[in-house]
Amino acid sequence: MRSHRWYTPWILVAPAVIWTVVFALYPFLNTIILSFTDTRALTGGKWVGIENYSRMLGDEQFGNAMLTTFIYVIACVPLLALLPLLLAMLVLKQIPFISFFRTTAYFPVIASVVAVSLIWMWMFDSRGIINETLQFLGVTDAPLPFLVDRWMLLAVSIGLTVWRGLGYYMVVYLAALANVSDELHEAAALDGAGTFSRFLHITIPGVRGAMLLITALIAVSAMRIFSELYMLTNGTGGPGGENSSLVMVIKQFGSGLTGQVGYASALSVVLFLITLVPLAFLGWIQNAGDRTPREKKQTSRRKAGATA
Amino acid sequence: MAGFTRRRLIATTGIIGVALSLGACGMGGSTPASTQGTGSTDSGELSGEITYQTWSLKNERFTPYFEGLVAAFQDENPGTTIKWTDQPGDGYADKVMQQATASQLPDVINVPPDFAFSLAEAGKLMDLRKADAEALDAYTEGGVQAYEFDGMEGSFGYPWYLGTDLNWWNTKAFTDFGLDPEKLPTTLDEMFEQSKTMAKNSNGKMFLMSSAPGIAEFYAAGSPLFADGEFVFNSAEAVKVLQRYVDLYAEGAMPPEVLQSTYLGNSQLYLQGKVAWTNGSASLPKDLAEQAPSISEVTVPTPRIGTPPLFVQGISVAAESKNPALALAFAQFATNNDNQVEFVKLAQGFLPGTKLANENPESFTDAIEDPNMAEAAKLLAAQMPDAEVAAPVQFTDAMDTYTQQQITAAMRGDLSAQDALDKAVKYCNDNLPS
Amino acid sequence: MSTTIEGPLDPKTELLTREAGDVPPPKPYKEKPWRSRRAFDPRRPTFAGLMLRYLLLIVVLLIAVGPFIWQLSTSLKGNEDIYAFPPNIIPQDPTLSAYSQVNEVIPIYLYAWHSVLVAAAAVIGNIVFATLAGYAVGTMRFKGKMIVMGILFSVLLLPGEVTLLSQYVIIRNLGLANSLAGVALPGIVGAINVLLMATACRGIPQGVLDAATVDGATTVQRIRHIVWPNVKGMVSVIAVFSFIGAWDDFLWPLIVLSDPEKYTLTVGMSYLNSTFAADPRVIAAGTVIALVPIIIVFASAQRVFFKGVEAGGIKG
Repeated sequence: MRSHRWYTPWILVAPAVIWTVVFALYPFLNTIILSFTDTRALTGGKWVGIENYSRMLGDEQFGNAMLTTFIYVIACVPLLALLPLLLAMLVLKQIPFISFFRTTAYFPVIASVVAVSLIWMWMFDSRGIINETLQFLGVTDAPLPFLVDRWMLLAVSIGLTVWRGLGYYMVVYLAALANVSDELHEAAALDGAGTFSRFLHITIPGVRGAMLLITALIAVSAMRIFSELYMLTNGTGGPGGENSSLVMVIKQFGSGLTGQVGYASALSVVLFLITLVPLAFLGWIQNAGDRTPREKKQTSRRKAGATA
Repeated sequence: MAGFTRRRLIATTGIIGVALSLGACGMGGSTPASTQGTGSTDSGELSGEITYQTWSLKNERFTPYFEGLVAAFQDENPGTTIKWTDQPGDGYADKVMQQATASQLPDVINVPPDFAFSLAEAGKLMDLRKADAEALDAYTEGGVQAYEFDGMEGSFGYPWYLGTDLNWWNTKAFTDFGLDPEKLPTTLDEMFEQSKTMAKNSNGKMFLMSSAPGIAEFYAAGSPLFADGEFVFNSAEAVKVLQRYVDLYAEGAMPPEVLQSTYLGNSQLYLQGKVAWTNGSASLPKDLAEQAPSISEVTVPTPRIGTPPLFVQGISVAAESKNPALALAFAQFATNNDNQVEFVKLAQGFLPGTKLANENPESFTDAIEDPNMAEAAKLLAAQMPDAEVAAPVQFTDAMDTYTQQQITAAMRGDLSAQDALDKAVKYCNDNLPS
Repeated sequence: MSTTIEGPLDPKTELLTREAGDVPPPKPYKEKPWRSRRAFDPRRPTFAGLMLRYLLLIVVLLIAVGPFIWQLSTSLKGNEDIYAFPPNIIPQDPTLSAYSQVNEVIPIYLYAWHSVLVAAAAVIGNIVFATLAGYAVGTMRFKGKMIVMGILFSVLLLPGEVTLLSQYVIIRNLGLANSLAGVALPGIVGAINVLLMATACRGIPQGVLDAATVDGATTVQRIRHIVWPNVKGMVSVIAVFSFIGAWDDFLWPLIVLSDPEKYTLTVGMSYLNSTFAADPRVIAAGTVIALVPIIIVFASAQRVFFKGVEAGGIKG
């Protein structure tokens, strides 16, 4: 049943489309153009063709950053797909004072990155509380170089990202968990299924869609990782630049009065292109998830049309 | 996010650094001298309105100073209006860039030399030598030179306030770990030697040195940095210095975090009581008193080892100013001897950029009441004639970051000192604007 | 800018997977929150289970609010070591002087008011425009829908790292440089919010909308009376995140505004960290002050969106 004039949807989407085109798409087109020039921040540039792109191939910093970013994505996805779910299950039940706990669970989202990083650096410092504890327990003789070793620093940084993401993704799961019917749980419990078994066979399938979606979102934001690594390395990017992420390299080149805007733009375009991968994944999930219900909907629509 | 830009900016451009988180005791209500100004501020001819922008100086101590400065100028030159604004410390490079690209640069603007270099390169600053060559004679040579650039005709800023820094020692740590606080290191050799002793005696709980070397250390050791349009700090002297740090790190006489630290890193560690030495300006006593009183009590300053660094802040005039005569006159007024003296009375431990004031340091050091601060200011003033700006203006943040990454990689033993510096120099030269 | 993804964010997609009909509203609990040993009701935990739950909640609480507590404690400290390790959480000599100092250095109420204006514009703009567009994209079929979706999706992925100055040029050409309107404008609609709204609207049973049409409801009436009540949960999520995004933004207002009289709170707050007078206590006090509105918004909005969650969101 067609319930609107042909232009109604266009009027409705017009503000949003105009806004995104003007304030996001157009500036990015500008970035694409700049990526083919050798523009610097204060002085104009000239057309250099694909020189910026070919330069990337031999750029050790770019290579390092790609690896770091890739590991970040690989590590963050399973952690952030699972832990927020557990947290969501924890705060879902309506028990006394739960509003208070729910609100505090969001605190990491709003905490100042600077303060948080400072505290994390205290904890993981070679003379910090974690090392003191490990040494006291006799786990290790010498302090572990959490903030110095390439992989340990990456692990600490991923931990920080996960901590900050818990509250965010928890919200998504909360909505999804509302879809998991209590009757199913009750029936399974009556059949003698344990907590873990019910989690595996009822909860997880119930939130499968949300989980796939979150996976894609995490992957996209892990590609953009910046603050955590920047703070934990004091902005140095680590010895040999081994802890730099792609965005850190972009900022290193592009910022300041002498910034190589051309090259930084080219890096941004590449970042955009590789982020398309999780996006394609996201789109695919949405389509796959939508298909069945939509067919149903179309059927019902036809029916409605017939009865009307 | 806000935090980093400034930290990074300051750490890497070498301006002020910790140094500038300066402080002094409440010299509050001091007003700028109303003076006759320097030569060209003939009252009567000037009229109209200009903007004057300072960087990160709006606070209870300096706001009254600038308000007074503006009022004094306007009184002397009726019909003129000076609009003073202060930009926050964070994001200054972004802000200046926006102003420059939009042709909205304030008429009179406080920029450090490397900003001035970029702006002058883009034709955004007035050549002060061409505008009024005579006026430049009033300023210290080192200061003026900081605003004159290789391959560029002219002079692009009036030196305003200059700083250098000192060594600061935690004497309690010296006593605790078997070193003599009466015999603080005065040479690089002693420094390395005592670093090893302290690390050994404290069993890795307390360190002396906690910063990786940068090009300033190479310069202090006699290495050239930039010559004939090219970076050259991969010299034998520089390699030798770096090698000493490599060895020191290998011996475990530096905290592991040194590989991730920046220029500001070691003063932070010092405030946290984790290292026994840092460098820092005369502001350090105040920071210590405020943030770590227990360490403050046991801290003493000594002069720097080798060539002390020079930090310069200056006042430039926008080339596109709509009222260049007024802008120039106000820039000269803001940096004239009396006003500079009044300024450094507030910015204790810093030195003015005029010759006359530097010949009579008691004109501003007398104002310091706190004995610790006074002692530090005396040391700083004595050291100032030797201080030099180490980093060439062509050395960008990105180059600094890359160089630091190679140096720390060498310290960890990933590559040799020579290779690290060769790589850094190659990168810097590749990234010079063609 | 609210159009870019940064950090582990954007969970605002909660309703994406929800379909109508399969959500039975949970029964509100009336009895005591735990069940006795004999009663069998898997929806209510045993007493021990409940205690374990609280224990875990307290662990999460400590992990979550630690940094905030530390900042609060720093802001209250008197003359003592701030960076001592291990940190002293309880100030030895608590004082509120840092807070009064914040007020002396910057016109905090004025700046906060500016931030409120900008954030309010972002919240209202996103709710209104995202709901309209989300309704169209989510429930209507029209030519060019894929193009609209494509534009919105691609914007999610655009790295904002190098587009700041281009955006400024646009704002200046619109004559909005150095105005709060210029600060607020780009954040009025976020592509992600539109997509979230679209997924929320997709969850509304088509039959209900059709029935309304049959009854002669106009598009506006359908949105007002059917869509709006059904997407309130998502609206609250969008409101919260638009608010935070606008409130926390630093670089954009700094670039747009040239007159310190017009600064927003985040920008003005950086004066606390000025060159000759950076006191960590005052900076921490500023941070705490800036967090208060966010916490208030959060705490009040969470009622709405948890209610949405508990009610199953859709009233079929």
